[in-house]
Amino acid sequence: MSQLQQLRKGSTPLLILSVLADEKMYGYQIMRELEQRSEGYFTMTAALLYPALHQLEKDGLLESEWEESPGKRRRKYYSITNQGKKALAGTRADWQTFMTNLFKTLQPTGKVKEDSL
Amino acid sequence: MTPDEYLRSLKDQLNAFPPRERAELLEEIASHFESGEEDPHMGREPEERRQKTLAEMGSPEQLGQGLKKVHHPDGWIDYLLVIGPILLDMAVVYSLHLADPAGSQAFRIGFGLACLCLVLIGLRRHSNLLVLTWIEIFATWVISLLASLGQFLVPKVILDPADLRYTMVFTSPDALQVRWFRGLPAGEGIFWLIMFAGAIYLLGWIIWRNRRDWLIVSYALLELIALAGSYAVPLLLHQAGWDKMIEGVKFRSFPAMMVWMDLPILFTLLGFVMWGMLFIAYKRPLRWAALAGYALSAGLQAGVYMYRPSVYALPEYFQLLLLPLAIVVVGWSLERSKKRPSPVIA
Repeated sequence: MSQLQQLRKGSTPLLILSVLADEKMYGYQIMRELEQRSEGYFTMTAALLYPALHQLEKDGLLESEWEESPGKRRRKYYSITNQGKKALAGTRADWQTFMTNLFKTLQPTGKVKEDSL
Repeated sequence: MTPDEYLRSLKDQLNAFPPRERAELLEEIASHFESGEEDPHMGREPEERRQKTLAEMGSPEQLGQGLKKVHHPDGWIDYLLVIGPILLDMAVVYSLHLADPAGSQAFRIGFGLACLCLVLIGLRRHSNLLVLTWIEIFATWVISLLASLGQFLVPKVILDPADLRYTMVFTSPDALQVRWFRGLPAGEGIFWLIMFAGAIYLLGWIIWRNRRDWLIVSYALLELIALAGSYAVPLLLHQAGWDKMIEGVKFRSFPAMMVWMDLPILFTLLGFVMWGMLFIAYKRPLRWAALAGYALSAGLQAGVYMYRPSVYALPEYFQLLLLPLAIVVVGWSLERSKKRPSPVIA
């Protein structure tokens, strides 16, 4: 698995919690919302999404309920718990710190150019 | 592949789940297909939408594996891999009580290697509980074996010929002296020590890998802390001698203690049931309750087994009885008090 893939996989729970921060959604809806928010960058297969949802529910960060709709199959809606909100806030802050410092470090300093002159 | 074929294939993948859970999982995925087929953004024609939805699913094998990794529906197999060999061990110990003592070395080697095989099976099955259980049975067994042999930790062995727990495998205390105290080939002792070091390394590695999972950490530490406690309590409180430490060494292995024949059957059964719940239960609170029940039964067994007014004063006795439960309560409290649970997918 490439580093980028690992990074994406590692960020899956954060992405799911972010999407569910405002409203409850069912699995398919979460997939579409992720895709839309990231303008197609974060696409996720159901094989990755559903185990992640179930793991988050098992960890107490999400909860779910079945909802019936007339003439259709019932759907399982996921919503974030208070524990999940805390986790999201903390992890979001961690990622922001990480990304800020990563970009700072990645910025070219011009030092190499000066030395080569 | 059609959605129906996908669901059929997924159903095969989920055959280890209880029927109700499996039906719910399949219903969730079926409703995913339905949502995709109704979504106008997926294409104009129903067939186009169906194919696009299918393409986004990932394989049924991947999905099934992912769900199994989360829910561990076959925890009962792990439980059988713990309880089966222990019951078999009980039967062997009973039969050896009547058998020729020359068979003891074969039993010793067989037991040690069986423990290691079960550790490997646990690793293959990605079951932390199974690996931890057999590592700890093995580690405490090696400690007690080498302590009994006088080659590790203790300079001598105090024998109690009147006590069936020592003599049940042998015909007489003399045979015990010869076979256990001086009878172990040096190569075999070194072999068990190397295996012991490997087991402790593996134990540390599993604890480190699961450091955010207090349930696993508590289970892993339960015996190690109890083992250390059994040394520390008599030493710190009464400056007990080596003989009391041997008592501690010999009787600290909680899973192994369940095999002893003279424990009250009620505590043993309680331990077996709680152990089973720990392995099989889905819900985390239930698993914590099972671990607490297991620790309590282990403490009760330890308490009943070790209760000797001549060796342990009442306060020590209660500490030994409640120590396992205290470890679980601390683990549970730490999990509850986590300020910021980390969403991690193993």
